[in-house]
Amino acid sequence: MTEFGAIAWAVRRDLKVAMRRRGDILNVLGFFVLACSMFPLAIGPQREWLQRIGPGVIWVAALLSVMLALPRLFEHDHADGTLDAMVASGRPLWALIAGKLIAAWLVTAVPLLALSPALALAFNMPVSSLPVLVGSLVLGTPVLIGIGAITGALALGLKSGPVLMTLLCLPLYVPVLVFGAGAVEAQAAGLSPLAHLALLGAGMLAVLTLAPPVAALALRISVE
Amino acid sequence: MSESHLSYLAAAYGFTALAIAIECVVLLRTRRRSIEQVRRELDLDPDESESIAQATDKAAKP
Amino acid sequence: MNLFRFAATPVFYPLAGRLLPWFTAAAIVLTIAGLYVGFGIAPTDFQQGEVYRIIFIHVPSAWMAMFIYLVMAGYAVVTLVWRSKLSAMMCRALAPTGAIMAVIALLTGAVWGKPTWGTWWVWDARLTSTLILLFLYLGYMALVEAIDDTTRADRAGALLLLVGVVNIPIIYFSVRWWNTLHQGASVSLTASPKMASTMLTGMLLMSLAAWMYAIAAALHRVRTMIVQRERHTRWVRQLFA
Repeated sequence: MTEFGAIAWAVRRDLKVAMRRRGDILNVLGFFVLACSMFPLAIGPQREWLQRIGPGVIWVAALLSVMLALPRLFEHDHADGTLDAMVASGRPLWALIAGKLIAAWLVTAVPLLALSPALALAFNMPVSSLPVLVGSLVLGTPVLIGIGAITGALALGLKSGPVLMTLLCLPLYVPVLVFGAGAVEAQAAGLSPLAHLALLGAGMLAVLTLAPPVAALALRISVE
Repeated sequence: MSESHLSYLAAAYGFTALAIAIECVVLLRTRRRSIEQVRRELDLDPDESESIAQATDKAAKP
Repeated sequence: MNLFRFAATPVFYPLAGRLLPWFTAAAIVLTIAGLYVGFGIAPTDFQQGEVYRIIFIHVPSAWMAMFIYLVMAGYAVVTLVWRSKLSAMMCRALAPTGAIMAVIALLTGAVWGKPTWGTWWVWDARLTSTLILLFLYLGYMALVEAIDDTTRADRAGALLLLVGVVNIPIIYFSVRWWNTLHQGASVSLTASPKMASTMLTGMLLMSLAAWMYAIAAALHRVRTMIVQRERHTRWVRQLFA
């Protein structure tokens, strides 16, 4: 099987599995909205404050929502033995993982992207900041998922898996958060978000190329 | 002004000394416990462990 | 001389035992020297008075927290590439000391910040990066503790370290960027405008002391780890029979 074929196979398979569990998508969206809503409830609905913290809050909530969905990346396949079969099969493991990551992005990040403009308006953010918000999330969420794949593979099958993954992921997420939220805030302050977005883009490219093989190595360490 | 600051100095140095001391105590205790475990296993089954030892020695030889 | 001979645990164990007292002694001597220079020779700071002398702990511990992580990453490479058990053990042996150095750096930073800048915590780039470094340490330690299989734990930890070490410059860069953008916390705890050379000497001596201490602690821990892992082998049993 060619590499591209392996990727396509993995994407199709994971999308099929995700369609069977449509509740998961709602969970992610629900958490996203709830997490964002906590802040006005906690600090009051003054529009200036919400506008000031909006980019950060939405970014943090998106980051946490993605992170919560990540254990599922390998969990089910590990539980029913499919993961072992994938590792043992002759197919290029990095390609299978790349496919899984693409499917995960489609299922987890795209709904968040779709909902983020609405939340931005709820935080009284100017309409002009919406493209930068969505753009930063488009560039940043693949990085989050890629890093999560590596840590998820390392923590595969452990009892404290999801909690451990959180501890492992969050320090590595800091640059993504800084550049992502920073891009939106720069835009809101009238500055150019291009530098932030460029750095995010570079990160995305790096993760796209490096995450699948590193995650494959991590999987082999965990499974073999 | 510097008088009250001395308490900060003392706090910083005191905490550091405490941290190092705790680390050393834990170091020594862990080692003692490992040695105790070796001795315990030696008492329990010297013969059976001998064969494990032989097997591990064989495996360890290049 | 074949250095790989020392990678065999029955050879390394007694070697580490013979080196230990020397590193311990070096740590003690250098600490005394450093404190003597730091308190006896270095002058009172014009702006901060006596409390600046916290840097003789704060800076060395921050440097060591960073340096130890780099050394661990080096051992991680050896672990993954050459599948060396001893390198994996050195990684795990260094981690607690590195984490404690990070904690010391953070706490002394806070204690220094209060009388100097009026707040217990300043989100400056160095301190925030050290905080993230602490979480990298804790994550590593949590991961290797959570995995029962020794080989998997060693290799998983090694890979995590490498991912971490590659990210550290990125994290530091992003935190510095973030810090300069949000001008509020533009003060830096280590920005003493003029460092008297005696102050630098004091910091250097204390850094060396911390380094000797870290090596001693790691050697001690590795010896314990070897005993623990190889308690079924004949050579270990004969040591304590």
